[in-house]
Amino acid sequence: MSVISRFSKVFLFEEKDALLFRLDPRIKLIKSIILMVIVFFIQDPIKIGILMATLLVEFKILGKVLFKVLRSILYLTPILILIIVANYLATYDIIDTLSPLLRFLLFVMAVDLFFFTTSPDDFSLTLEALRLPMTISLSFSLALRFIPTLSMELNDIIEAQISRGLQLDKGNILTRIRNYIPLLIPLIVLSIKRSIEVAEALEIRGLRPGVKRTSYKTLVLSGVDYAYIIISLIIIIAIYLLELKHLISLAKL
Amino acid sequence: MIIFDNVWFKYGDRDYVLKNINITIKEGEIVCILGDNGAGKTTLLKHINGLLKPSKGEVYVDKLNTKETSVSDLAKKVALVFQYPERMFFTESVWKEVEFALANFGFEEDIRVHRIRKVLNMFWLWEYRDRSPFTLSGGEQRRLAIAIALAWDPKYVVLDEPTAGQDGFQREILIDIIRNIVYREKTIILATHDIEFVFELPECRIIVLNKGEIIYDGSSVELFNNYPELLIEAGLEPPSLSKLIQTLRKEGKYVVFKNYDDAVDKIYNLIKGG
Repeated sequence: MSVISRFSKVFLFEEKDALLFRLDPRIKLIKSIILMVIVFFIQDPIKIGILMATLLVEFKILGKVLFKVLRSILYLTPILILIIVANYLATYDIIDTLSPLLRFLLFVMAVDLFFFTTSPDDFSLTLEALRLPMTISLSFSLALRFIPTLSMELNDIIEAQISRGLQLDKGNILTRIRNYIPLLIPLIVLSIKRSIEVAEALEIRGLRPGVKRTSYKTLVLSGVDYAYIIISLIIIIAIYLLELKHLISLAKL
Repeated sequence: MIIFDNVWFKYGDRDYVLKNINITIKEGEIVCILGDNGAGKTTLLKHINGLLKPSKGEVYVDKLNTKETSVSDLAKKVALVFQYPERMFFTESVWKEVEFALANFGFEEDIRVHRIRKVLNMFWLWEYRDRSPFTLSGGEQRRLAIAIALAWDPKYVVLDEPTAGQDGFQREILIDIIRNIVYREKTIILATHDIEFVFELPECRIIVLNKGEIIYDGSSVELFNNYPELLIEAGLEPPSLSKLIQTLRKEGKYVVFKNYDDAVDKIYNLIKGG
Protein backbone atom coordinates (compact mmCIF):
# COMPACT_ATOMS: atom_id res chain seq x y z
CA MET A 1 0.00 0.00 0.00
CA SER A 2 2.62 2.45 1.07
CA VAL A 3 4.80 1.43 -1.87
CA ILE A 4 2.10 2.59 -4.26
CA SER A 5 1.63 5.90 -2.51
CA ARG A 6 5.39 6.50 -2.36
CA PHE A 7 5.68 5.52 -6.00
CA SER A 8 2.99 7.97 -7.03
CA LYS A 9 4.67 10.69 -4.98
CA VAL A 10 7.64 10.50 -7.33
CA PHE A 11 5.39 11.60 -10.17
CA LEU A 12 3.69 14.30 -8.16
CA PHE A 13 4.90 17.68 -9.30
CA GLU A 14 6.26 19.82 -6.48
CA GLU A 15 7.09 23.43 -7.23
CA LYS A 16 10.48 24.48 -5.88
CA ASP A 17 12.22 27.81 -5.80
CA ALA A 18 15.05 26.90 -8.15
CA LEU A 19 16.44 27.98 -11.51
CA LEU A 20 15.38 24.85 -13.39
CA PHE A 21 11.77 25.52 -12.44
CA ARG A 22 11.89 29.06 -13.77
CA LEU A 23 13.45 28.15 -17.12
CA ASP A 24 11.36 28.14 -20.26
CA PRO A 25 9.96 24.58 -20.56
CA ARG A 26 10.85 24.51 -24.28
CA ILE A 27 14.52 24.98 -23.40
CA LYS A 28 14.37 22.11 -20.95
CA LEU A 29 12.62 19.96 -23.54
CA ILE A 30 15.34 20.74 -26.10
CA LYS A 31 18.06 19.79 -23.65
CA SER A 32 16.22 16.60 -22.70
CA ILE A 33 15.88 15.59 -26.33
CA ILE A 34 19.55 16.38 -27.06
CA LEU A 35 20.57 14.19 -24.11
CA MET A 36 18.26 11.39 -25.21
CA VAL A 37 19.74 11.47 -28.69
CA ILE A 38 23.36 11.72 -27.61
CA VAL A 39 22.90 8.64 -25.46
CA PHE A 40 22.95 6.68 -28.71
CA PHE A 41 26.22 8.23 -29.91
CA ILE A 42 28.43 8.09 -26.84
CA GLN A 43 29.67 4.58 -26.08
CA ASP A 44 32.41 5.30 -23.59
CA PRO A 45 31.17 4.68 -20.04
CA ILE A 46 33.61 7.29 -18.66
CA LYS A 47 32.19 10.02 -20.91
CA ILE A 48 28.66 9.06 -19.96
CA GLY A 49 29.73 9.04 -16.34
CA ILE A 50 31.07 12.60 -16.66
CA LEU A 51 27.90 13.73 -18.39
CA MET A 52 25.81 12.10 -15.66
CA ALA A 53 27.90 13.82 -13.00
CA THR A 54 27.26 17.23 -14.58
CA LEU A 55 23.55 16.44 -14.66
CA LEU A 56 23.53 15.33 -11.03
CA VAL A 57 25.26 18.57 -10.03
CA GLU A 58 22.63 20.43 -12.05
CA PHE A 59 19.80 18.56 -10.30
CA LYS A 60 21.33 19.34 -6.94
CA ILE A 61 22.24 23.00 -7.39
CA LEU A 62 19.95 24.34 -10.11
CA GLY A 63 16.92 22.16 -9.43
CA LYS A 64 16.94 20.95 -5.80
CA VAL A 65 15.46 17.69 -7.10
CA LEU A 66 18.46 15.37 -6.71
CA PHE A 67 16.74 13.26 -4.06
CA LYS A 68 13.67 12.81 -6.23
CA VAL A 69 15.76 11.84 -9.25
CA LEU A 70 17.70 9.29 -7.24
CA ARG A 71 14.47 7.88 -5.90
CA SER A 72 13.01 7.56 -9.40
CA ILE A 73 16.14 5.61 -10.39
CA LEU A 74 15.74 3.42 -7.32
CA TYR A 75 12.30 2.33 -8.53
CA LEU A 76 13.92 1.09 -11.74
CA THR A 77 16.20 -1.31 -9.87
CA PRO A 78 14.56 -4.45 -11.37
CA ILE A 79 15.16 -3.13 -14.91
CA LEU A 80 18.72 -2.09 -14.03
CA ILE A 81 19.46 -5.59 -12.72
CA LEU A 82 17.99 -7.07 -15.89
CA ILE A 83 20.23 -4.85 -18.04
CA ILE A 84 23.32 -5.78 -16.05
CA VAL A 85 22.64 -9.52 -16.10
CA ALA A 86 21.62 -9.66 -19.77
CA ASN A 87 24.60 -7.64 -20.94
CA TYR A 88 27.11 -9.46 -18.79
CA LEU A 89 25.85 -12.83 -19.98
CA ALA A 90 26.07 -11.62 -23.58
CA THR A 91 29.55 -10.06 -23.40
CA TYR A 92 31.34 -11.24 -20.24
CA ASP A 93 32.90 -7.81 -20.22
CA ILE A 94 32.49 -5.27 -17.46
CA ILE A 95 32.96 -2.21 -19.69
CA ASP A 96 30.42 -3.52 -22.18
CA THR A 97 28.01 -4.14 -19.31
CA LEU A 98 28.55 -0.77 -17.74
CA SER A 99 28.04 1.21 -20.93
CA PRO A 100 24.38 0.27 -21.64
CA LEU A 101 23.57 0.59 -17.96
CA LEU A 102 24.92 4.12 -17.72
CA ARG A 103 23.32 5.08 -21.02
CA PHE A 104 19.97 3.88 -19.75
CA LEU A 105 20.42 5.87 -16.53
CA LEU A 106 21.36 8.98 -18.52
CA PHE A 107 18.22 8.54 -20.59
CA VAL A 108 16.11 8.32 -17.44
CA MET A 109 17.77 11.43 -16.06
CA ALA A 110 17.08 13.29 -19.30
CA VAL A 111 13.40 12.46 -18.93
CA ASP A 112 13.47 13.51 -15.26
CA LEU A 113 15.10 16.81 -16.20
CA PHE A 114 11.98 17.86 -18.07
CA PHE A 115 9.22 16.15 -16.09
CA PHE A 116 10.38 16.84 -12.54
CA THR A 117 10.89 20.53 -13.11
CA THR A 118 7.98 21.42 -15.39
CA SER A 119 4.60 22.26 -13.88
CA PRO A 120 1.47 20.79 -15.50
CA ASP A 121 0.60 24.31 -16.73
CA ASP A 122 3.99 24.77 -18.37
CA PHE A 123 3.70 21.29 -19.77
CA SER A 124 0.48 22.07 -21.61
CA LEU A 125 1.95 25.36 -22.86
CA THR A 126 4.90 23.42 -24.25
CA LEU A 127 2.61 21.01 -26.04
CA GLU A 128 0.77 23.94 -27.56
CA ALA A 129 4.06 25.54 -28.56
CA LEU A 130 4.87 22.32 -30.39
CA ARG A 131 1.70 23.00 -32.44
CA LEU A 132 0.06 19.75 -31.40
CA PRO A 133 -3.71 19.66 -31.92
CA MET A 134 -5.52 20.87 -28.83
CA THR A 135 -7.29 17.55 -28.26
CA ILE A 136 -3.92 15.82 -27.92
CA SER A 137 -2.23 18.47 -25.80
CA LEU A 138 -5.26 18.77 -23.53
CA SER A 139 -5.54 15.01 -23.07
CA PHE A 140 -1.87 14.85 -22.15
CA SER A 141 -2.01 17.60 -19.59
CA LEU A 142 -5.27 16.31 -18.11
CA ALA A 143 -3.75 12.86 -17.78
CA LEU A 144 -0.79 14.31 -15.89
CA ARG A 145 -3.10 16.40 -13.76
CA PHE A 146 -5.07 13.32 -12.68
CA ILE A 147 -2.17 11.17 -11.51
CA PRO A 148 -2.26 12.58 -7.95
CA THR A 149 -6.08 12.39 -7.82
CA LEU A 150 -6.07 8.81 -9.01
CA SER A 151 -3.38 7.81 -6.56
CA MET A 152 -5.46 9.27 -3.71
CA GLU A 153 -8.48 7.38 -4.98
CA LEU A 154 -6.47 4.19 -5.29
CA ASN A 155 -5.44 4.63 -1.67
CA ASP A 156 -9.09 4.93 -0.61
CA ILE A 157 -9.97 1.81 -2.58
CA ILE A 158 -7.10 -0.15 -1.06
CA GLU A 159 -8.18 0.86 2.44
CA ALA A 160 -11.81 -0.05 1.74
CA GLN A 161 -10.93 -3.48 0.32
CA ILE A 162 -8.49 -4.22 3.14
CA SER A 163 -11.34 -3.41 5.51
CA ARG A 164 -13.33 -6.08 3.67
CA GLY A 165 -10.62 -8.58 4.43
CA LEU A 166 -8.55 -8.38 1.23
CA GLN A 167 -4.94 -9.41 1.80
CA LEU A 168 -2.75 -8.18 -1.03
CA ASP A 169 0.39 -10.08 -0.11
CA LYS A 170 -1.20 -13.48 0.39
CA GLY A 171 -0.75 -16.55 -1.76
CA ASN A 172 1.43 -17.40 -4.76
CA ILE A 173 2.20 -15.07 -7.64
CA LEU A 174 -1.00 -15.88 -9.54
CA THR A 175 -3.21 -15.26 -6.51
CA ARG A 176 -1.32 -12.06 -5.78
CA ILE A 177 -2.01 -10.76 -9.26
CA ARG A 178 -5.65 -11.75 -8.83
CA ASN A 179 -5.69 -9.85 -5.53
CA TYR A 180 -5.39 -6.65 -7.50
CA ILE A 181 -8.67 -7.11 -9.40
CA PRO A 182 -10.76 -5.68 -6.52
CA LEU A 183 -8.57 -2.58 -6.75
CA LEU A 184 -8.39 -2.21 -10.51
CA ILE A 185 -12.07 -2.53 -11.38
CA PRO A 186 -13.29 0.24 -9.04
CA LEU A 187 -10.36 2.39 -10.17
CA ILE A 188 -11.26 1.95 -13.85
CA VAL A 189 -14.96 2.56 -13.18
CA LEU A 190 -14.13 5.70 -11.22
CA SER A 191 -11.74 6.95 -13.92
CA ILE A 192 -14.33 6.52 -16.65
CA LYS A 193 -16.96 8.31 -14.57
CA ARG A 194 -14.49 11.06 -13.80
CA SER A 195 -13.49 11.51 -17.44
CA ILE A 196 -17.14 11.93 -18.41
CA GLU A 197 -17.56 14.53 -15.67
CA VAL A 198 -14.45 16.39 -16.78
CA ALA A 199 -15.63 16.39 -20.38
CA GLU A 200 -18.97 17.85 -19.34
CA ALA A 201 -17.30 20.45 -17.14
CA LEU A 202 -15.05 21.51 -20.02
CA GLU A 203 -17.99 21.80 -22.39
CA ILE A 204 -19.94 23.85 -19.85
CA ARG A 205 -17.02 26.27 -19.69
CA GLY A 206 -17.14 26.72 -23.42
CA LEU A 207 -14.29 24.53 -24.62
CA ARG A 208 -14.69 23.71 -28.28
CA PRO A 209 -12.11 21.68 -30.14
CA GLY A 210 -10.98 23.08 -33.47
CA VAL A 211 -11.46 26.71 -32.53
CA LYS A 212 -8.27 28.77 -32.43
CA ARG A 213 -7.43 29.75 -28.88
CA THR A 214 -5.20 32.39 -27.40
CA SER A 215 -3.20 31.88 -24.25
CA TYR A 216 -3.43 33.92 -21.08
CA LYS A 217 0.14 32.96 -20.32
CA THR A 218 2.63 32.85 -23.18
CA LEU A 219 6.15 31.49 -23.17
CA VAL A 220 8.90 34.09 -23.67
CA LEU A 221 12.58 33.21 -23.85
CA SER A 222 14.81 35.26 -21.55
CA GLY A 223 18.58 35.77 -21.34
CA VAL A 224 18.85 33.15 -18.65
CA ASP A 225 17.21 30.60 -20.98
CA TYR A 226 19.72 31.34 -23.77
CA ALA A 227 22.65 31.23 -21.33
CA TYR A 228 21.46 27.91 -19.91
CA ILE A 229 21.05 26.17 -23.25
CA ILE A 230 24.35 27.55 -24.63
CA ILE A 231 26.33 26.48 -21.56
CA SER A 232 24.60 23.09 -21.60
CA LEU A 233 25.44 22.62 -25.29
CA ILE A 234 29.10 23.57 -24.73
CA ILE A 235 29.37 21.05 -21.90
CA ILE A 236 27.69 18.28 -23.90
CA ILE A 237 29.79 18.92 -27.03
CA ALA A 238 32.98 19.18 -24.99
CA ILE A 239 32.30 15.86 -23.34
CA TYR A 240 31.39 14.30 -26.69
CA LEU A 241 34.62 15.52 -28.33
CA LEU A 242 36.74 14.77 -25.29
CA GLU A 243 39.69 12.53 -26.08
CA LEU A 244 40.36 10.59 -22.98
CA LYS A 245 43.91 9.77 -24.11
CA HIS A 246 44.75 13.48 -24.10
CA LEU A 247 43.23 13.85 -20.69
CA ILE A 248 45.31 11.01 -19.31
CA SER A 249 48.51 12.42 -20.83
CA LEU A 250 47.61 15.84 -19.44
CA ALA A 251 47.19 14.27 -16.03
CA LYS A 252 50.63 12.65 -16.40
CA LEU A 253 52.22 16.02 -17.09
CA MET B 1 -14.89 -2.51 24.32
CA ILE B 2 -12.97 0.05 22.27
CA ILE B 3 -10.55 2.29 24.13
CA PHE B 4 -8.77 5.36 22.76
CA ASP B 5 -6.06 6.04 25.30
CA ASN B 6 -4.55 9.49 24.90
CA VAL B 7 -4.38 9.24 21.10
CA TRP B 8 -2.52 11.80 19.01
CA PHE B 9 -2.16 11.43 15.29
CA LYS B 10 -0.54 13.30 12.43
CA TYR B 11 0.01 12.51 8.74
CA GLY B 12 3.75 12.66 7.99
CA ASP B 13 5.28 15.79 9.47
CA ARG B 14 2.16 17.96 9.28
CA ASP B 15 0.23 19.24 12.30
CA TYR B 16 -1.67 16.88 14.56
CA VAL B 17 -5.06 15.89 13.13
CA LEU B 18 -6.15 14.19 16.34
CA LYS B 19 -5.21 15.66 19.68
CA ASN B 20 -5.45 13.94 23.01
CA ILE B 21 -8.38 11.65 22.21
CA ASN B 22 -9.74 9.63 25.15
CA ILE B 23 -12.85 7.58 24.45
CA THR B 24 -14.21 4.35 25.90
CA ILE B 25 -16.94 2.73 23.83
CA LYS B 26 -18.92 -0.04 25.49
CA GLU B 27 -20.75 -2.88 23.78
CA GLY B 28 -24.22 -2.05 22.47
CA GLU B 29 -23.65 1.70 22.28
CA ILE B 30 -24.47 3.91 19.32
CA VAL B 31 -21.78 6.55 19.13
CA CYS B 32 -22.15 9.48 16.74
CA ILE B 33 -19.05 11.45 16.00
CA LEU B 34 -20.02 14.92 14.87
CA GLY B 35 -17.68 17.36 13.27
CA ASP B 36 -17.08 19.73 10.41
CA ASN B 37 -15.19 18.69 7.26
CA GLY B 38 -11.58 18.18 8.28
CA ALA B 39 -12.36 17.83 11.99
CA GLY B 40 -10.68 14.41 12.00
CA LYS B 41 -13.73 12.14 11.95
CA THR B 42 -12.54 9.76 9.25
CA THR B 43 -9.02 9.71 10.72
CA LEU B 44 -10.50 8.71 14.06
CA LEU B 45 -12.58 5.92 12.49
CA LYS B 46 -9.60 4.52 10.59
CA HIS B 47 -7.84 4.01 13.92
CA ILE B 48 -10.50 1.54 15.03
CA ASN B 49 -9.63 -1.14 12.48
CA GLY B 50 -5.95 -0.33 12.44
CA LEU B 51 -5.70 1.29 8.99
CA LEU B 52 -4.02 4.14 10.85
CA LYS B 53 -1.92 3.69 13.95
CA PRO B 54 -1.69 6.45 16.54
CA SER B 55 1.43 8.63 16.49
CA LYS B 56 1.16 8.83 20.28
CA GLY B 57 -1.04 6.82 22.64
CA GLU B 58 -2.81 3.51 22.08
CA VAL B 59 -6.07 2.19 20.66
CA TYR B 60 -7.44 -1.08 22.07
CA VAL B 61 -10.19 -3.13 20.45
CA ASP B 62 -11.28 -5.84 22.90
CA LYS B 63 -7.91 -5.56 24.65
CA LEU B 64 -6.03 -5.97 21.34
CA ASN B 65 -3.61 -3.12 20.77
CA THR B 66 -4.12 -1.98 17.18
CA LYS B 67 -0.40 -1.32 16.83
CA GLU B 68 0.32 -5.01 17.36
CA THR B 69 -2.62 -6.47 15.42
CA SER B 70 -2.96 -6.76 11.65
CA VAL B 71 -5.77 -4.95 9.83
CA SER B 72 -7.20 -8.25 8.58
CA ASP B 73 -7.47 -9.58 12.14
CA LEU B 74 -9.10 -6.35 13.32
CA ALA B 75 -11.39 -6.19 10.29
CA LYS B 76 -13.02 -9.42 11.45
CA LYS B 77 -14.19 -7.63 14.59
CA VAL B 78 -14.60 -4.15 13.16
CA ALA B 79 -16.48 -3.59 9.91
CA LEU B 80 -15.59 -0.19 8.52
CA VAL B 81 -17.96 1.14 5.87
CA PHE B 82 -16.36 4.05 4.08
CA GLN B 83 -17.96 7.15 2.71
CA TYR B 84 -19.40 6.26 -0.73
CA PRO B 85 -18.82 2.52 -0.18
CA GLU B 86 -20.62 1.79 -3.45
CA ARG B 87 -17.54 3.02 -5.28
CA MET B 88 -15.69 -0.08 -4.15
CA PHE B 89 -17.94 -2.64 -5.86
CA PHE B 90 -16.21 -4.79 -8.44
CA THR B 91 -18.04 -8.09 -8.94
CA GLU B 92 -20.79 -8.93 -11.43
CA SER B 93 -23.52 -9.73 -8.92
CA VAL B 94 -24.82 -8.60 -5.55
CA TRP B 95 -24.36 -12.13 -4.25
CA LYS B 96 -20.67 -12.23 -5.19
CA GLU B 97 -20.11 -8.80 -3.74
CA VAL B 98 -21.22 -10.05 -0.33
CA GLU B 99 -19.38 -13.33 -0.78
CA PHE B 100 -16.05 -11.58 -1.44
CA ALA B 101 -15.54 -10.52 2.17
CA LEU B 102 -16.78 -13.87 3.52
CA ALA B 103 -14.29 -15.70 1.31
CA ASN B 104 -11.50 -13.39 2.46
CA PHE B 105 -12.26 -14.19 6.07
CA GLY B 106 -12.24 -17.90 5.28
CA PHE B 107 -15.85 -18.90 5.96
CA GLU B 108 -17.00 -22.34 4.78
CA GLU B 109 -19.32 -22.60 1.78
CA ASP B 110 -22.49 -23.52 3.75
CA ILE B 111 -21.96 -20.72 6.28
CA ARG B 112 -21.41 -18.27 3.42
CA VAL B 113 -24.69 -19.20 1.74
CA HIS B 114 -26.53 -18.91 5.02
CA ARG B 115 -25.03 -15.52 5.86
CA ILE B 116 -25.57 -14.02 2.40
CA ARG B 117 -29.19 -15.15 2.43
CA LYS B 118 -29.65 -13.63 5.86
CA VAL B 119 -28.18 -10.19 5.19
CA LEU B 120 -29.73 -9.82 1.75
CA ASN B 121 -33.16 -10.51 3.23
CA MET B 122 -32.52 -8.24 6.18
CA PHE B 123 -31.74 -5.34 3.82
CA TRP B 124 -34.48 -6.06 1.26
CA LEU B 125 -31.92 -6.96 -1.41
CA TRP B 126 -32.76 -10.62 -1.92
CA GLU B 127 -34.55 -10.06 -5.24
CA TYR B 128 -31.46 -8.28 -6.60
CA ARG B 129 -29.04 -11.07 -5.75
CA ASP B 130 -28.16 -11.87 -9.39
CA ARG B 131 -28.07 -8.28 -10.60
CA SER B 132 -24.90 -6.27 -11.03
CA PRO B 133 -24.33 -4.01 -8.05
CA PHE B 134 -23.68 -1.15 -10.49
CA THR B 135 -27.29 -1.27 -11.69
CA LEU B 136 -28.77 -0.68 -8.22
CA SER B 137 -30.05 2.73 -7.16
CA GLY B 138 -27.96 4.90 -4.85
CA GLY B 139 -29.93 3.93 -1.78
CA GLU B 140 -29.81 0.23 -2.62
CA GLN B 141 -26.07 0.41 -3.17
CA ARG B 142 -25.60 2.00 0.24
CA ARG B 143 -27.76 -0.71 1.82
CA LEU B 144 -25.71 -3.37 0.04
CA ALA B 145 -22.50 -1.85 1.39
CA ILE B 146 -23.81 -2.05 4.95
CA ALA B 147 -25.15 -5.56 4.30
CA ILE B 148 -21.67 -6.61 3.17
CA ALA B 149 -20.20 -5.27 6.38
CA LEU B 150 -22.68 -7.19 8.51
CA ALA B 151 -22.26 -10.45 6.62
CA TRP B 152 -19.17 -11.59 8.49
CA ASP B 153 -20.88 -10.79 11.80
CA PRO B 154 -18.49 -8.19 13.17
CA LYS B 155 -18.89 -7.01 16.74
CA TYR B 156 -18.45 -3.36 15.83
CA VAL B 157 -19.89 -1.58 12.82
CA VAL B 158 -18.23 1.70 11.89
CA LEU B 159 -20.03 3.91 9.37
CA ASP B 160 -18.37 6.94 7.80
CA GLU B 161 -20.92 9.53 6.64
CA PRO B 162 -23.71 6.97 6.09
CA THR B 163 -26.15 9.64 4.87
CA ALA B 164 -23.82 11.27 2.32
CA GLY B 165 -25.67 11.57 -0.99
CA GLN B 166 -28.85 9.94 0.33
CA ASP B 167 -32.36 11.33 0.09
CA GLY B 168 -34.83 11.70 2.97
CA PHE B 169 -36.48 8.34 2.42
CA GLN B 170 -33.14 6.52 2.36
CA ARG B 171 -32.14 8.29 5.57
CA GLU B 172 -35.23 6.95 7.32
CA ILE B 173 -34.37 3.47 6.12
CA LEU B 174 -30.83 3.99 7.41
CA ILE B 175 -32.15 4.90 10.85
CA ASP B 176 -34.20 1.69 10.87
CA ILE B 177 -31.14 -0.26 9.80
CA ILE B 178 -29.00 1.25 12.54
CA ARG B 179 -31.61 0.45 15.20
CA ASN B 180 -31.84 -3.05 13.76
CA ILE B 181 -28.07 -3.51 13.98
CA VAL B 182 -27.99 -2.39 17.60
CA TYR B 183 -30.89 -4.70 18.35
CA ARG B 184 -28.61 -7.51 17.21
CA GLU B 185 -26.24 -6.57 20.01
CA LYS B 186 -23.69 -4.83 17.89
CA THR B 187 -21.93 -1.60 18.64
CA ILE B 188 -22.23 1.20 16.11
CA ILE B 189 -19.86 4.06 15.65
CA LEU B 190 -20.79 6.55 12.99
CA ALA B 191 -19.28 9.80 11.85
CA THR B 192 -21.42 12.46 10.25
CA HIS B 193 -22.08 16.15 9.94
CA ASP B 194 -25.75 15.49 9.27
CA ILE B 195 -27.19 16.92 12.49
CA GLU B 196 -30.83 16.32 11.64
CA PHE B 197 -30.03 12.65 11.11
CA VAL B 198 -28.44 12.42 14.55
CA PHE B 199 -31.36 14.26 16.10
CA GLU B 200 -33.59 11.42 14.98
CA LEU B 201 -31.40 8.95 16.90
CA PRO B 202 -31.87 10.30 20.43
CA GLU B 203 -30.46 7.14 21.98
CA CYS B 204 -27.00 7.81 20.63
CA ARG B 205 -24.03 9.10 22.54
CA ILE B 206 -22.50 12.11 20.84
CA ILE B 207 -18.88 13.05 20.53
CA VAL B 208 -18.23 16.44 18.97
CA LEU B 209 -14.86 16.89 17.32
CA ASN B 210 -13.45 20.31 16.60
CA LYS B 211 -10.06 20.56 14.86
CA GLY B 212 -9.07 17.15 16.19
CA GLU B 213 -10.13 17.72 19.78
CA ILE B 214 -13.15 16.38 21.62
CA ILE B 215 -15.25 19.30 22.83
CA TYR B 216 -18.32 17.33 23.88
CA ASP B 217 -18.98 13.74 24.93
CA GLY B 218 -22.44 12.95 26.24
CA SER B 219 -26.08 12.38 25.45
CA SER B 220 -27.70 13.89 22.40
CA VAL B 221 -30.68 15.29 24.32
CA GLU B 222 -28.33 17.19 26.60
CA LEU B 223 -26.33 18.56 23.67
CA PHE B 224 -29.24 19.70 21.54
CA ASN B 225 -31.17 21.22 24.45
CA ASN B 226 -28.43 22.84 26.46
CA TYR B 227 -25.26 23.26 24.43
CA PRO B 228 -26.17 24.18 20.84
CA GLU B 229 -23.31 26.70 20.94
CA LEU B 230 -20.85 23.80 21.00
CA LEU B 231 -22.16 22.74 17.61
CA ILE B 232 -21.66 26.23 16.24
CA GLU B 233 -18.14 26.22 17.67
CA ALA B 234 -17.48 22.98 15.76
CA GLY B 235 -18.69 24.61 12.55
CA LEU B 236 -22.05 22.80 12.49
CA GLU B 237 -25.57 24.11 12.24
CA PRO B 238 -27.73 23.10 15.26
CA PRO B 239 -30.93 21.27 14.28
CA SER B 240 -33.91 23.55 13.68
CA LEU B 241 -35.66 22.23 16.79
CA SER B 242 -32.61 23.09 18.86
CA LYS B 243 -32.93 26.69 17.66
CA LEU B 244 -36.62 26.64 18.55
CA ILE B 245 -35.76 25.52 22.09
CA GLN B 246 -33.42 28.48 22.49
CA THR B 247 -36.03 30.94 21.23
CA LEU B 248 -38.69 29.51 23.55
CA ARG B 249 -36.33 29.70 26.51
CA LYS B 250 -35.62 33.34 25.77
CA GLU B 251 -39.37 33.87 25.88
CA GLY B 252 -39.39 32.28 29.33
CA LYS B 253 -40.79 28.88 28.34
CA TYR B 254 -38.42 26.18 29.60
CA VAL B 255 -38.74 23.10 27.41
CA VAL B 256 -36.70 19.98 26.79
CA PHE B 257 -37.17 18.04 23.54
CA LYS B 258 -36.06 14.44 23.40
CA ASN B 259 -36.80 13.90 19.70
CA TYR B 260 -39.19 15.07 16.98
CA ASP B 261 -42.27 13.31 18.34
CA ASP B 262 -41.62 14.62 21.82
CA ALA B 263 -41.13 18.12 20.43
CA VAL B 264 -44.40 17.94 18.49
CA ASP B 265 -46.27 16.92 21.67
CA LYS B 266 -44.76 19.68 23.74
CA ILE B 267 -45.28 22.41 21.15
CA TYR B 268 -48.87 21.24 20.76
CA ASN B 269 -49.35 21.53 24.53
CA LEU B 270 -47.76 24.96 24.54
CA ILE B 271 -50.11 26.20 21.84
CA LYS B 272 -53.09 24.63 23.56
CA GLY B 273 -52.09 26.17 26.90
CA GLY B 274 -51.77 29.55 25.20
